[in-house]
Parts: sequence; structure tokens; C-alpha cells
Amino acid sequence: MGIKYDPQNFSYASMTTTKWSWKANPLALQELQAAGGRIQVFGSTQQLSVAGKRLLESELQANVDNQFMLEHAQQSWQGLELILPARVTLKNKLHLEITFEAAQPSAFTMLLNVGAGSQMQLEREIHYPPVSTRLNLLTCGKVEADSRLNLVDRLQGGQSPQQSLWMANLHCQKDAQLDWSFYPEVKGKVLGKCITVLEEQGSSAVFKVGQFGRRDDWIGIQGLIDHRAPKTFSRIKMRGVLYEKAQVYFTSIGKINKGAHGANAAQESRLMTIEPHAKGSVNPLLIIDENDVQAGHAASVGQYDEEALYYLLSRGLVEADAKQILINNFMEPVLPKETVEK
Amino acid sequence: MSTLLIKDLKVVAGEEPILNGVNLEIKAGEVHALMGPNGTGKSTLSETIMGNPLYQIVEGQIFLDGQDITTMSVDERARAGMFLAMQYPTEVVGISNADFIHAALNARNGNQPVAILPFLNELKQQMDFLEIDEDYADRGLNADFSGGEKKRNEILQMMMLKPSFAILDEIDSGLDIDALQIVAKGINAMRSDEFSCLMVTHYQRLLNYVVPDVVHIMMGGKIVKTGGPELAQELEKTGYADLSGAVEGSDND
Ligand SMILES: Nc1ncnc2c1ncn2[C@@H]1O[C@H](COP(=O)(O)OP(=O)(O)OP(=O)(O)O)[C@@H](O)[C@H]1O
Ligand SMILES: [Mg+2]
Repeated sequence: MGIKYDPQNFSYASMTTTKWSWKANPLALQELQAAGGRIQVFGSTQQLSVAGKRLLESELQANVDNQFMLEHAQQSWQGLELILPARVTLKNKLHLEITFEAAQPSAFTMLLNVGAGSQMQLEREIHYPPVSTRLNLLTCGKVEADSRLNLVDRLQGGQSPQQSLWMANLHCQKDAQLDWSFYPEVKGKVLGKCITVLEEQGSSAVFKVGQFGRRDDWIGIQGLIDHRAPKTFSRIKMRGVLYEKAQVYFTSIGKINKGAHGANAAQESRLMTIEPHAKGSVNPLLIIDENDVQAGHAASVGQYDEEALYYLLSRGLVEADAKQILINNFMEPVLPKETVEK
Repeated sequence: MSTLLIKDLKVVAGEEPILNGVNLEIKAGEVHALMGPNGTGKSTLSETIMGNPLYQIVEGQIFLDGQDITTMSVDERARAGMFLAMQYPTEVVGISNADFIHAALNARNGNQPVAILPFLNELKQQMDFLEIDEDYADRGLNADFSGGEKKRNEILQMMMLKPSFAILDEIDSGLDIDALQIVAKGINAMRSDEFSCLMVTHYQRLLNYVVPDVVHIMMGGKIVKTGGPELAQELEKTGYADLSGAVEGSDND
């Protein structure tokens, strides 16, 4: 929907097991472990927790029409499982780095479970190898009743262009709150599909994307929030700044199913094209099958706000600085709060 | 030194002629008021002096201290000492008020960074003077400021940047009585031999607090009458109707 992609770029042919490693900041990791939680490597589904295995199975069943997901399931399973038990609030932000060392194409899976009434902040950083390769990353997660997950995902590549397929499906239960940001700071081609399912009453999700496209990057990102219960709340905010010959395509979908009365869904996606050969589009969609809801969307593709630029220049700032301020200003709504504050 | 000299200025916006030959001289140390009905070109003149690209000069020149500035860019004019308090200041959420003013000072200082502590001290002092709450330093530039707060913030920027020539476009509109006095206090604090100013206004009440040296009346894209402060007072009684003859007269030449 909206994203025109060439499956060739992201196909699963000849995926092999590869070398990767993970590490986390010790303070947060100890806090997690002391609370009975864990991060565990798995090399086959046998090594998953019962809940993890169940989550993965139901995810695959629910996505039988998703070709990439099916192909992913045919690769050998490897990845990480993170479990936070019920009624735990982690004070420290968990900073998780996953580094791919070899240049082989890899399929990697991560399972996340935030227990009922728990709270955590998680930042995942995916580091690519220095040479070009292809990574297919799948995340399945559950944010249980009354819990809160603040999730920041970053893809970080070096100088070489990479090919990335990023699929992530998160489920929110009763009154759970998800605040999720995605920053694909990697060169090359990125196809991202991020789905949040608001399964139970009162759950809410905010999904933000911030993207700087350069050179001949091609980035297609779809954010879908699926309201399946009453009084659910969602926001999608996407911002992309495009340089050189970058292409960025954003699709945001707010889906409100029958029975999800009192749902509130809004989305705002904007692209700023800095250079004349950059291009992109934003496609906001609302699919609504219930009367008693609030929903809205806004979208734009444009250049600098001329009026604001003029205002800044009129105080004496040189053009390059004034433009940088406007770029930061444009990105501000999707940046994590702590990098904005000082 | 801060003299502004405008010679036979003709300006269009798009295809539309708006200014039809403006002549104006403001000497160093003087405060001039510019009045006139809605839509006569007061903001157009202000914006053209600042260099807003929406307005094209088709004839005439603008000199600041003897230098023709018509080919200078907006930021060059600002660094040359010019300031425009806009009728509708823009909001830029992504930079704090304080950071922005500091960045502007650095730019005016030839990109030599202005020491931060003295800067913050002075900012605090001027904010106190203008009775602006301390919080406003860290809020986004004009972000969610009320109309009156934005105007006060324009004066704060002027006091911090210390231009030699300032244009204040309807700085008094939307201000309550107390705010008007505070803004007037700010403008008066700037008055010196080194500073000159063009104030666009519709109302005598600002001129009660900031007494101008000269008053101009603009109609139909021209200055049709110039006088002392008493001209504004007369206008208060008679309105612009009596002057429409002057416009026709000037159209015929
Ligand atoms: N960018 C523009 N493009 C086209 N026309 C313009 C533009 N800016 C101003 N005008 C027109 O020029 C005329 C003068 O406008 P200007 O804003 O200079 O008036 P003003 O004297 O400042 O009025 P007011 O007292 O209402 O502020 C108006 O008819 C306006 O519609
Ligand atoms: Mg005006």
C-alpha cells in the first residue's frame, strides 16, 4: 500500500547463519536481571520461552499473507529474546547494541515481552558490518496490560550502502502504552514495516519515524496502527529530510475496526526535500469501520518554510545556519525528548 | 551613524505595483512614525528595506549610512545593523529563544562566539526590564507565544542585537495597556545618537509614549505628507479623508 518496492532488493535467497554479537549497558542489564528478567540468545525456536514461542507462532499465523514474514520463517531462527517480568519498573534505560560482523546476508529475530504493570525504556541499535550486505530483521513483541514500553530503534550503517528489511509487530494489551521511535540511519535501501496492534481497551501507541535520506538512498516505511478495541489511541508522526538523490516513501495507516468505538487515531507525515533531485511521497490512510471515532491526518512534501527562513535571516544568521535550524525544527516532533532537551 | 535614505522607490509584489515612488530620509538618532490606511504599503516598505524576496524593487535605491543596500541579501543587511520587528513574527519551535538570540549575536559578531555567561546575564536583565518571564528564554522561538508576547519578544531581540536602524511594523497592535508601556519603554531605552527607527503604527497612543521626531503619512504607495508629532494628533481628529486629494495630486505628476 503506497510503497512501491522491488522484491529483488530484499529477497531471502541464500541467507546463511552469520556472526553477530550483542551487548547492553551493565547497569540496566543488572537491574533487569535482578528483577527476574533476561536477555537470551536463541539459535532455534526450541530455545525460546514458552510465551515467546507462542507469540512467534501466532504472529506467523496472523501474517500468512505477508510473503517476507513467511520467507523469514523459513530461515534458521536466531536472535534474542528479552523478557521483563510483571510489575517491574526499570529505572535505567536499557541500551542494547546488536552488531553484525560478517558480510553475509542475515535473518535475525527478536522477541520482546514487557510483563503486566511493568515499565521500561529500551534503545536498540543495530550496527551493520563495514561492507555492504543484507539484513532482514524481525521483531515480535507484547506490551502486556497496564505496562509501558518506550522503544527507540536505530539502524546504524557505516560508509557502505546496505539493504535492510525491517519488520516489527508489537501488540498492546489493556491500558498498555507504547512509545516507539524508528530511526533508520543506514545508507542504501531500507524497507520498513512497523505494525502496532491495539488489542485491548484503553491501549495507546505513538509511532515516530525520523529519516535523513542521502545519496541514492531508497527508503520505504510503512507504519500501521490497528485499533481492535474501544477507547484505543494512536499517533503516527513521520519526518524525512532528503538530500542529493534520495528517495523516501512514507505510508501511515490508521485502521479502526468495527467495535473499536471511542478510538482516536491521528497521523502526520512530512517530507522536506532539500535538493532538487531528491524525491518522495507521503501516503496517509485511514481505514475506518466504526462510527464513533476521531481520526485525522496531515501530510506534506515541501522545501524550507520560506517565511521562517526569512525571519531567521532577518536577525543576521547566515543562510546555511538558518536552514540547519529549520531542518532541526522540522525533525523536532519525532526526535526523542532527551536529545532535544539539554 | 545610522541614516537611512530612500530615493524614489518603486516596488512590485508579483505583478502588482505597491510602492509608487517613496522618498524618505531618517537621520541618525531620529525616530520616525509611518501612518496610513490599511493596504497602502507600509509593511511593503518595511519588508523591502529589510530585503524580503517577496518584493521586487523596480526603481529607486535604499542607502544605509551612504551604502546602497538594495543588492544585499537579508542576512547581510541584518549584519550591517538593520532590524525589522515584524507585524507577524514566525514561530520556530526547534530552537530556544535564548539559543536563537545567541546564534544571531554570533553571526553579527563575524561568527566569533559571544561569551555565554555575559550573554545570559544581559538576557536576564533585558527580560526583567521587559517583564518577560524567565521561562521564555528556554521556550521555542515564539512557540505558542500570544500575539502580545511575540511583540514583546521582538523588542527583546532588538535590545539584545542592538541594531543601528530598526523598523517596527505595528509593534503596538494587539498589546494591552501595560504591555504597550513596556514595549515603549524598550524602544525609548534604545534611543541614542547611534540609533534610528521607523515605527509603523495606526494609533496615536504609541506616539504618546514614544514621541516621534517626524511623522509621515503614506497613501497609495507614496508618502503624501510629512510633519511633526502634531500631524499624528490632527489625523486622530480628521482621519485620512482630507488627505485623499494629496494622493490624486501626486498620481498626476
Ligand atoms: N506578497 C504580496 N503579494 C501580492 N500583494 C501583496 C503582497 N504583500 C502585500 N500585497 C498587497 O500590497 C498592498 C499593501 O500591503 P501592505 O501589507 O504593505 O499594507 P499595509 O499598509 O502594511 O497595511 P496594514 O495597515 O493593513 O498593515 C495590499 O493591497 C496587499 O494586498
Ligand atoms: Mg502592515
